[in-house]
Amino acid sequence: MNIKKIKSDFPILTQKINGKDLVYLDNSATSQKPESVIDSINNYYTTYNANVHRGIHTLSEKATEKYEEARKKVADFINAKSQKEVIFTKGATESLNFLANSLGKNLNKNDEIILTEMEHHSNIVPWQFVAKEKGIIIKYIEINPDGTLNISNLENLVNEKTKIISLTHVSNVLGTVNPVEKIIKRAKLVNPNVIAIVDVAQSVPHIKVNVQKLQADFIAFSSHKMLGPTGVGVMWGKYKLLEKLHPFLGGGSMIASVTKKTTLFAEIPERFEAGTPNIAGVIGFGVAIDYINQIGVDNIYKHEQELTSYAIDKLTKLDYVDIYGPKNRAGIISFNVKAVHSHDVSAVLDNYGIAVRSGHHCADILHNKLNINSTVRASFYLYNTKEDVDKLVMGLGKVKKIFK
Amino acid sequence: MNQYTSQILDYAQNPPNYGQIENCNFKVNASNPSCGDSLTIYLNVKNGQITDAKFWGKGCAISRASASMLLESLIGKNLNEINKLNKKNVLDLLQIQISPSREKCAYLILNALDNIPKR
Repeated sequence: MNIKKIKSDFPILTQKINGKDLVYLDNSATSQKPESVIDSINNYYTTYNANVHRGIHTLSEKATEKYEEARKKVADFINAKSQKEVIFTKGATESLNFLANSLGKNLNKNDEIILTEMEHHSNIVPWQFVAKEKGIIIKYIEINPDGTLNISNLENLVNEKTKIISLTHVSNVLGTVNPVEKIIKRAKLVNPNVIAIVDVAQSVPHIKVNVQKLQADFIAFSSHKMLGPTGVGVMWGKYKLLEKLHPFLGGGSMIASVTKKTTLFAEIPERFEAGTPNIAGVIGFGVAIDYINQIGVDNIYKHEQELTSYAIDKLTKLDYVDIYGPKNRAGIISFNVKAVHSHDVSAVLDNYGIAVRSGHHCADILHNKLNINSTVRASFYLYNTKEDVDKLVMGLGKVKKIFK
Repeated sequence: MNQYTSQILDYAQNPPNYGQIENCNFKVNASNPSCGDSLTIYLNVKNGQITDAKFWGKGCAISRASASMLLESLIGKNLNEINKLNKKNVLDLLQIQISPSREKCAYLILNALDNIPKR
């Protein structure tokens, strides 16, 4: 991987923040975008802006072709059996709300759903809505002190009332990579009818995700965390299950015919994409996938693993820093500077052009469980370098100096 | 852009009025759940005049300094003065620039004082 060349593909990375070179370490929140993605959006609006699946005119046909081309790229990227299994949403959050709403229609009082204590709020709150409405019980797989999931008693959590298990592939705080294949297999051994959902928002940009191996029935992720535009996400589902799934949103393009009394739905995937979609965003997302493919997701993974162990090594040597999470992890490191609030750490680092996240990263349950108020999070992507890690370490030295 | 002036750091790290007051006249809370910050404010009032004010809880340097300095400025004032407090009073005390993302830290103390029952 030629990081220098990669960096030069991202216009934003050349700018100065507070007079310093930008060191962008907030990739779990959102990634930066390469010029090719930005250009593709500009090109769409400049040369073929039109609605999709509607007009019988040149521009609409081109827009539709490009939009559907992106769907094929996504399908190939995750190794879906058919591009019809790829549904575009506005983000992983909408994908999970979609599933909670639509699958929730078939749930009854006292049915059970299994989540984990390390879920992002987007994989908790939609299920709580359903639970409240239908009288459903939510159970949580607990977190071990080292930040891995405690699956020793999984067989006790799953029973004949369990309808859904929904869990994250990678923790957005700790970087823990969960053994989702194993967890789903074991859950389905107890109850083969359990529907398995995996939130791959934090994994698919960095780790090869193959839905033929993952054991999931549905997955959810976002374009903006993988070099694509905001406002685009994916809900992938096995075709047989999509056939039984009730649409989340009703409106234009999801119908075959409408009478005063009833509606016949369109075919899949249009059935699940009511209204004019984020056409420019989807096309840009397709170009982002091209970019990742050109580098190779396995190369990206290897690069991030090198950076992560380098960073863990450096941070461990700082006796004033506490690191959270397991030894083996994706490129996400949450930590605290002893006796300094995460917001203050982040604000000082910002003075040196270093962008990290601070707070609870939409994971209250996890922070409460680990008994931490908030954390600072550094997260890597393909354009980060060891020099970026060195600058982070330098910045933490400044924090220590200010808050002595 | 240095928010961490020696004055801010002094008040944040060693706030003179950090603590709890038993049997106080007013005890109110405010929190910023997204930061994990929460402040409890204790006030003693005699003949309408604030005689003691302390705070307790977790917070970043900006929220702690802001709470400490504003409470310090209230000693000896009439309790009704609290109704007139605004963001400018806080900024005048802090003497630093507050970026939009840190406003909720700086003004947490105002939210807390807002919870004192109106007279």
